[in-house]
Amino acid sequence: MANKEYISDELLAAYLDGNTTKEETEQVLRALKTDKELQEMLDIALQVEEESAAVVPVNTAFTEEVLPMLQKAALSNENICAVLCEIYILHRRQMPYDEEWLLNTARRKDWLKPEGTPLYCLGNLLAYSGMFVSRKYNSTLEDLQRAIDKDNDVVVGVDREKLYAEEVDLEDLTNHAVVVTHIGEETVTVFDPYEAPYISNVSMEDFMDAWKESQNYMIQVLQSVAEYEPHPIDVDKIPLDGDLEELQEAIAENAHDVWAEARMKEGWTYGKERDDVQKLHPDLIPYTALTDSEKEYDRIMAFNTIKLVKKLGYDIVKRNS
Amino acid sequence: MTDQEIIQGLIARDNRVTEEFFFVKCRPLFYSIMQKVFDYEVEYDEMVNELYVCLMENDAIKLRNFEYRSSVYQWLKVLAIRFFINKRGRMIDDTSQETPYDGRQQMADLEKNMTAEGDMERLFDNMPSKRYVYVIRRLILEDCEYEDLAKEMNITTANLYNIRRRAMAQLTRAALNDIKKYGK
Repeated sequence: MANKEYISDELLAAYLDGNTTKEETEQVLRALKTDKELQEMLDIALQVEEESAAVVPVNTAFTEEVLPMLQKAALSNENICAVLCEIYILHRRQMPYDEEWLLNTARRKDWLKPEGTPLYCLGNLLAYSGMFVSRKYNSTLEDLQRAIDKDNDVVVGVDREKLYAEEVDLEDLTNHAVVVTHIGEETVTVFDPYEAPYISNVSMEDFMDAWKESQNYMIQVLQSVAEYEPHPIDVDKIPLDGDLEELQEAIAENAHDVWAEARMKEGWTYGKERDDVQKLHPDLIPYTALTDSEKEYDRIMAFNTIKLVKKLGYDIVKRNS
Repeated sequence: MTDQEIIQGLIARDNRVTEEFFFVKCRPLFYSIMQKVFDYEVEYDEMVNELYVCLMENDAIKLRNFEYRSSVYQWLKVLAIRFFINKRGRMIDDTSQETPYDGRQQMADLEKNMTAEGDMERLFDNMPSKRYVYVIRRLILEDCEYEDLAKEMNITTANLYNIRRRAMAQLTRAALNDIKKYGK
């Protein structure tokens, strides 16, 4: 029987992170040839790695509808491109900042996670620094151009390897963030913190290819709050089955109760006409007593919330009691 | 939290670190590993609790011996994969007493496998990205300094770390494919 070389967890983890010497690397590869357990371990480790970089929707029927909210604008904790993009904007706007403090803040608040910076956390440091940040999926080049014309800073999520044609792209996913500074006829100018000389022109085709992986996600830093335009996520095509429609009614009623309780705690009471001075409101009655048109607001909110949960790749499963 | 803070917090049984890192942040990781290791349903919480007990046994000797040669997350991933594979073996056949690491005779039978360097070159040939090959060659075979290679490649060291990790994944995949192909 062949002797089995001992590959410790520490050595194997160091190998996967690329921190082994030549001899150690050869040792792992040699052991891999005969050690079935090691083969399975590494196969699983690679699968987990690939999986963590991609959103896996619970209900695959909605694969195409899932927004890549959990994909990473910076893949891995060591890769801080999302933070560097935000620092670039603070620098450009001549806002005082401390790079180390910002990094620590991002880690402490869990915006920079061990596995990277999720798209939905992009822009959080800017907002934390007092700036007005708006986010949008399914943006267009025109959206980018409008933002740049207003001198609003724009960050987009991209698949880094698609951005640079010479790189081999193994996975279709968002793994990087860049600041878009100019849109030309055939090129897009970006600030890429990891690609010297940092400001570079990429072809329009490569940019669009790279950007589509984030479902054209952009954040923009507004000059003032007056520029805010809401961009609710389009959930029209998300179907709801019977159970979820029942859930919609329960959520709508509860939302009404939460709203009414909060109002009453602030001293509001029922009144036939709304009176902000005397704190009277005609909707401070049980949900069941509301007319259908009055219930509609809560229903729409509930309906869109349930659809949004599904659109973001989650599923709602009824537990059998 | 830095890796040092995580390790120290786990050793000290700090509730916040244990809960936030081990039981919450690592949940998707453990869940994903379990799905791949077991082809039958297992109780998630029970399994993770057992993993935690294993991690903390003998006064957390595993944590105390951690040498920070990788990220804590990577190390815990490897540790969890091995733990669940061994657990599966015990669950399927309690009578199997084979010790997983019985062959600590490092480097034994080396002469039989001494084509390692040639093997690595063949794996390099099978890797789709020559950039990744270059990174492994320079960093691991030639022991080049990270700062020097990053400068040479016109990228930051942080980006180089990322490329290096992907390069190792591609090398490993090439090795696994090679084993399948040659039936070793």
